[in-house]
Amino acid sequence: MTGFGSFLVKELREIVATWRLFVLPLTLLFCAVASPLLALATPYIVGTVANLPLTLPDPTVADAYAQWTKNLGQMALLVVIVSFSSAVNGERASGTAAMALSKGLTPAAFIVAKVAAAYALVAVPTALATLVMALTTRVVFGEAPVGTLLRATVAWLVLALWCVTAVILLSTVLDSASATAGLAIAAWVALAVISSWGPAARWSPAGLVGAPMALAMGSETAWAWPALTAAVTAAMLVVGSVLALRRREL
Amino acid sequence: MTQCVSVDNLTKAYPVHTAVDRLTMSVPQGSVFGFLGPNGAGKTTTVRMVLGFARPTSGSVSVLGHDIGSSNDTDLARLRRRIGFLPDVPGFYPWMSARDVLRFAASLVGVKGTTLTKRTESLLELAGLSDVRQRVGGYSRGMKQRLGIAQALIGAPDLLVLDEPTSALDPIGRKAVLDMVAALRGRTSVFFSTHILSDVERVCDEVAILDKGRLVTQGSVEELKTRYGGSSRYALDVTGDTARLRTTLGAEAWVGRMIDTASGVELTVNDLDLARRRVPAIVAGLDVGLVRFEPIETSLEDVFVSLVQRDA
Repeated sequence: MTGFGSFLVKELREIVATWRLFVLPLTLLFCAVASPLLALATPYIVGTVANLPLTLPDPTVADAYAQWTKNLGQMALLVVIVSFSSAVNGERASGTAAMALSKGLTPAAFIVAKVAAAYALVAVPTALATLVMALTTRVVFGEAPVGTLLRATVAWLVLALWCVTAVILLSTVLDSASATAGLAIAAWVALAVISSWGPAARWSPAGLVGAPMALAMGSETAWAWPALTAAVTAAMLVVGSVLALRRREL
Repeated sequence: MTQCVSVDNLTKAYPVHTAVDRLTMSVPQGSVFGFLGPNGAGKTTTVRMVLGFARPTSGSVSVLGHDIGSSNDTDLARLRRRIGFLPDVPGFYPWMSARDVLRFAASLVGVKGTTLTKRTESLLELAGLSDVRQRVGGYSRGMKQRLGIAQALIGAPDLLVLDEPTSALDPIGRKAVLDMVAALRGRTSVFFSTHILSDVERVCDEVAILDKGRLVTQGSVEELKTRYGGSSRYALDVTGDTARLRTTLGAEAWVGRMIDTASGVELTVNDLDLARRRVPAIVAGLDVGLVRFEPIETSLEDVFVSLVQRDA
């Protein structure tokens, strides 16, 4: 892990110095502010668009939380995938990977620093956005049960970090950032399809696809095994990325 | 003499072509070693294998006493800290300043504290980038090349590997780089890959010429000139009727090739002793004035062109 500290500092500075600082955090903040408001407006919007004399139930906090997890699971996850699709192949193509590795940085330090910085870029804004979500929900609905919100968001965060790790592996293996993003999105869709199969939902990371929504709705969903298998497979994906980078010619 | 780089029977074959073909050569420690070849000769591929960035199809590379093929990641990282490397197209993070680049490079090779500050400032000065506030993303190719040389030197390396270091530089920048390389002679071994012959002739002690992935020759610049140029080319300048001189010389058996010049001829002679006796006699016989009759020094370019063309 020679050079890990120096490269991690570089990665974190890069987040601050480039567009990465804004895209994902702004997306998450947008979700945090928009979700309760959208939940509040949904009955009115549906009634207006359908143009039918429907009487929809009044929106609740559960609707706001459901909207939040839906936004996280679609919009935010898409941004996460695209944001990291050039993490390694971009550095290989621009020659910066060769420059850093020629200075004694090991492939393991390179990959682990990338993963650590990416995790920070996802986790810190998620924590802030969750706080904003709780405050907005309280303002709009007068209450915001923190436990439910936290459980749902943490379940999504585990899924998001797992996706980040998978995208970094793909970015190490593939030469093109767009190919990486395309394949990662396809894998994400496949994971969502697989999650409808009971055993996969109970025992594999696929279970994390539906867990945030279920938790937001207050259901008792067992997501410990999906989280545990996600952690184990994420570690395997990191090892895979290191081995793939060692095999790649620069 | 100790060798800092030894390459033995090195081959790199791709599905459609062989970039490096059974290359065997060695770089003496402390020397400025010119690695010369036309574009596409396999120089960059060789450099990548020397640094462990590409795996040889066969053969071996030893750098500073370490076998690259059998080194693990930690050994390779430790070795690379002793090597300064400038790629043919240096890659930098565009959001960094030149100072950021040098500090980042220094932190990776383990340079810290006051040494880091002093070395960073002196190398920025050397690269002519001390007062540049712009980010690297806005640099010209020449500025990037100068920064690339500075970052290669940040760790005070035992071996400096420069891949086409002067190709993007203007004459002043080029002179500065060549002066710097010459100043490193004896202190650091320099592996200088280039296709610019005059650069090699100016700073290198030892030269290897590569063509189509194969080593054509290796030796000191003087050795190669003697070995491949010989002293058979002479300049003969006269005053008076040069046309008659050319006709007369053209009939002599000991004259090989003859090229007309403004004031005489350039001769390639087959028999030097005979030429030395006959030329003054011919000049006197034609009643023309002898201005100059002397050997033409062979340049590295002559050697290179003759070797590469012969090989074609």
